[in-house]
Amino acid sequence: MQPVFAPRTSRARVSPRLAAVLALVLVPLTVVLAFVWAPINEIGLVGSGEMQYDFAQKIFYIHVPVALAAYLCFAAGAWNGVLFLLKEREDYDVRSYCGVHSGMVFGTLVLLTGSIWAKASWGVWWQWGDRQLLVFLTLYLFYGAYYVLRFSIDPGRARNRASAVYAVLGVALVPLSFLAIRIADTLIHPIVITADGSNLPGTVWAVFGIGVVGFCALAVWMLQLEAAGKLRAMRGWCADEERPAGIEGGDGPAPAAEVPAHA
Amino acid sequence: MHDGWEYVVAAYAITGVTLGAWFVAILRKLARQKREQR
Repeated sequence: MQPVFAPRTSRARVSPRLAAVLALVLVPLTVVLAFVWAPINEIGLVGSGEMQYDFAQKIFYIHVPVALAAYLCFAAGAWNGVLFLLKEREDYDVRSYCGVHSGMVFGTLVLLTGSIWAKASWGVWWQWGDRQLLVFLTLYLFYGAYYVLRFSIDPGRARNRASAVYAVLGVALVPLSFLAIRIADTLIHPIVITADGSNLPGTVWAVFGIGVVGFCALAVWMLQLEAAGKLRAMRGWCADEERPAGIEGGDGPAPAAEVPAHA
Repeated sequence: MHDGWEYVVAAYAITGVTLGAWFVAILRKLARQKREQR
């Protein structure tokens, strides 16, 4: 029997235990290292002659890894959407939904932490002239509309297909979001990795790298937990364990009547 | 205390509380399902 915190569903490609361990170790480690090891950028002398430091830059160590985790979730949602369209199996639809759902949670955090960082560094909560922000906001709203589409169609094959197509279309905005700061005219948004390599100091790069791995592992873990809960609710039995006698293969599409309204 | 520390605390707190609440909610759901399955 799998532990509650690490359910293994039939199609999980990454071990939930590995993702859980990586997330539980690396995310807290990122927070600690961000404050005790990573350097604080010097801004310079202020009017009173005191040296001022860009302490708000500490937000970078969660803001960017959380953004990459959001992209990973949206990509997982799209990939499972493709698999659903190819194979028409109900569990791919659930995973696609969970990918979008997890991406929206991480995306909300990206917008919140980014807005706080903008206020601290630029003096404004939002910068409408920044293409990176606008593209990410578009991506966020696009996937927000996914819920409207999904829950406006009755449960069943038509809803699953429409949701899968929508999830696949939205992922095109992910590379556009990544490229936006590189093709932008307004370069207020900092570029971390350029064609010439990284412009980060070694210690910043190390903490950032640990954060990226940690938050991406957290995203994978949460996505798997979400999917396991919804698959169990949908099938009425534990997706990671032996199927009760009389219930045939869970890989095939479940009857539409068994799909709960919230899935 | 550095300038802007309150923004840093706010950003980390929002992230921690959101992810923590989400995690607890999912875990409670899975634990309930496991109890009901027995």
